[in-house]
Amino acid sequence: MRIIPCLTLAVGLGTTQAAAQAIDFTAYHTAAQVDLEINRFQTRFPALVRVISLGNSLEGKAIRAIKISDNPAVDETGEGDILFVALHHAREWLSTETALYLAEQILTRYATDPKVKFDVDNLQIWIVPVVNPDGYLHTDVVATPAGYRYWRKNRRANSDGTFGVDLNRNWGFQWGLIPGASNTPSNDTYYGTGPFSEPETQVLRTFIDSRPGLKAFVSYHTYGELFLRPWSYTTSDPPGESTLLSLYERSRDAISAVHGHVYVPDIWYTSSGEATDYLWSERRIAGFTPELRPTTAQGGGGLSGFSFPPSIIIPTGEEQVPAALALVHDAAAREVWIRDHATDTGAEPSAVWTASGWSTPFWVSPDIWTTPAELTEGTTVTLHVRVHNNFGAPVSGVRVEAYWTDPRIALEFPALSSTLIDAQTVNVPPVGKTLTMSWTVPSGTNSWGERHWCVGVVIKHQRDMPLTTQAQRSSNIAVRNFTTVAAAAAGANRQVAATNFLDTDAELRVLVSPLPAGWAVRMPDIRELKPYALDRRERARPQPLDPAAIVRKGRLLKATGAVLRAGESVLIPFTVVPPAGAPTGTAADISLQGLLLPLVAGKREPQGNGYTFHVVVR
Amino acid sequence: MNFRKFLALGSLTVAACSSTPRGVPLSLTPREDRPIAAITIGDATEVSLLVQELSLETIRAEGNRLYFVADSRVTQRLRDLGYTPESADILQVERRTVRVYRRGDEAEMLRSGVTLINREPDYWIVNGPLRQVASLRTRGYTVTALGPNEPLPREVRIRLPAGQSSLVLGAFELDIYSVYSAPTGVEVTAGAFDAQIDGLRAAGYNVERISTVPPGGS
Repeated sequence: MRIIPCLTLAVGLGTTQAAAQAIDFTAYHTAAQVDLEINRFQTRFPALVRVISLGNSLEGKAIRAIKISDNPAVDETGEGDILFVALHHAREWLSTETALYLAEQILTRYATDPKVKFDVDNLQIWIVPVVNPDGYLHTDVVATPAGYRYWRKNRRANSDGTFGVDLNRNWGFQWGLIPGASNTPSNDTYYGTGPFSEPETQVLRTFIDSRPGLKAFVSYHTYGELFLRPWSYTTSDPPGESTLLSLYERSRDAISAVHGHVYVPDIWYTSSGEATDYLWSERRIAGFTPELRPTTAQGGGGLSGFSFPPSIIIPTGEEQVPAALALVHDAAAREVWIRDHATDTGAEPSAVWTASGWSTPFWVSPDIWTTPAELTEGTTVTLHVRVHNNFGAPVSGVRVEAYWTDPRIALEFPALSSTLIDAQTVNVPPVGKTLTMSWTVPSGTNSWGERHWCVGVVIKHQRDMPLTTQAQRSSNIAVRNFTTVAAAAAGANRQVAATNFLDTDAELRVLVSPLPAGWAVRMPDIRELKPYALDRRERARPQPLDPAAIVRKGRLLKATGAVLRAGESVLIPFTVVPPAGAPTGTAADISLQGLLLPLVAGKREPQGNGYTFHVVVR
Repeated sequence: MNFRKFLALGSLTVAACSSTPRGVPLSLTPREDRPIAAITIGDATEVSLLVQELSLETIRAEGNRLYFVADSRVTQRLRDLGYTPESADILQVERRTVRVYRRGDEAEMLRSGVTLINREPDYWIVNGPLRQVASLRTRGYTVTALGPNEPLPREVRIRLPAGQSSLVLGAFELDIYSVYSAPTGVEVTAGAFDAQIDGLRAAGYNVERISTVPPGGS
């Protein structure tokens, strides 16, 4: 059933009353009615909503976003963003209803729910109810008599005479991988003529590229009661799996607490060129794909699951809202946090890349230290972790995880290569709390022959979870690197490592932080160094790559650094040269910084970090 | 007469017969009349970079080959970047999915090299390069354009042994709707074309057609 008498009703009630009326979720909305309801959000909540066209579909229909913010007319770039989208697939009408339901709930709760008010006041929430407006209209067989209720793709006229590209196989990461999509235009999982070949995915990519503060992404689909997380293209775990798993578990529990429906993480099939994989691969932005009601058992399986009676809309919305609002709060709140550097206030990001390097070294967290401060390999030391509380009241059930790993320029936590030191669940009073953990310093050298280690701390709380693995972009993550000797000797040959932990090829740039007067660092041109695969545990390599492709990509983008394939590392030798005649005991802190720029089209989001050495003239 | 002119003439001939009740006339003239070329690519990301940096107009990517509209500026820049552009035949690259009205047996029809998609009561739906589709015409088959929403996948149920993952079906490029694990086995419902059903059965899978017209379908 779809809502037919909507306009008539609006006229009958009078303009003012109709404009204020909540959305009727007892029936599915036609494409025209969805447009009307999107407009009415702005009319009903003018202080909180702006409707913004992000661009046009293939047939020229607007792909519209409901922006929810306390200052919706202003782009508050200092605040973060979160993006909810629906209806990549035209027949999945319930996804659009769920997106509208979410917007309705956020806006109507704003006046009465302090937590929702806090989130809207501190975040920009974007909801795109219809990614595929052309396909949606085609599934409305009343408005489009030649249409088809179960159409899935967009309405691209393919060169072979068939129609449609599967928009959720058209994103740029692992595009074209089979199994996971189809190269046959008539197939419902056809991936298109190229990555982002379709205007609809281009519009979303452009929007995402324009939001440097984007923290989380949700793409609603139907059906099966699943809650999926990256990777979609493979059954292998992605980097940062434990972060995504924690977010999944909390979402599952929030959903099941409402009506008892347990959304499972099963992967029925792999999907390449999928949206959440793209977000996680290229931006390390947590993204999820809820496959909404019904279950296969309820829906009887088959196509009927896509056209389930509209009585399903409200309970589906009711159970999805808590999970969505939890992600919204993660993105808005800094309830518990840890500093990346001495002047870190918890703002995200804590450091940005500039022409002269990272604005502040963020791999030297003052909230991570050891006793004794000078480490000796093989000994057990006390690791201290300071957790701050910005909530104004005690926060209970805070999980603090500490990991060690080989240091690298370009590092994330948790990585699949990191080793858990300890995990504790503690209560954090308003003044903050310092935890202690026992850490046995590794013996011998790390993978590149140095006694140099990196410790990362990840803080999780049900009301404030990390949404990435990047320390500078999350107040829940901090990094500190340690050497197992008091100081490195000046003049000795040393080396640092850099790993491309992204699942896509990348350009590596390395620079030395400003040095004290008279000091120098000698380093070869990193483009001349030979990269190698160090740790393949971190990624799957499902398709062999043309070795020349990385070079060509680098040339296409006029790369000035070294180009590394996904998973490759490079060792960078260097020598620190003290001032001529410097007396014994003269010391300096030397920082080497690294930056990974993915070799992809669109915005190239920099990722990376650095090392700091305390160097002494002996 | 070169082949392109031959095809154009063929399309005119079909257009002249547009009063036939047998489907919509079909032109086999290539949609792209500019020269095309192909290069070897490493992965899909490279395609998007080429589009972004060189404004490359892609025709199709298949495997590690990318077909694109070749003009002298683009091909020279590609050479500068280390690629080796090779000219390609649009009649082998551009494909059509068409109705072929039944005449004789299916195996005979498929000798032209086209790929079967669906079997309808009065016609087959096949896909192939323009050259192969044109050869069907020269062999006397009536070839027309698709009808609305064609080809329509069949709704099927595939039964897998208990405990087996539906991931095993990935290579068949199905549109999987749902997966249900019962004690007796795993039931997968999916959209599949007749050729895909053939492939599943040939691989030993138990496939059942659920319905020919799904609920609410037109």
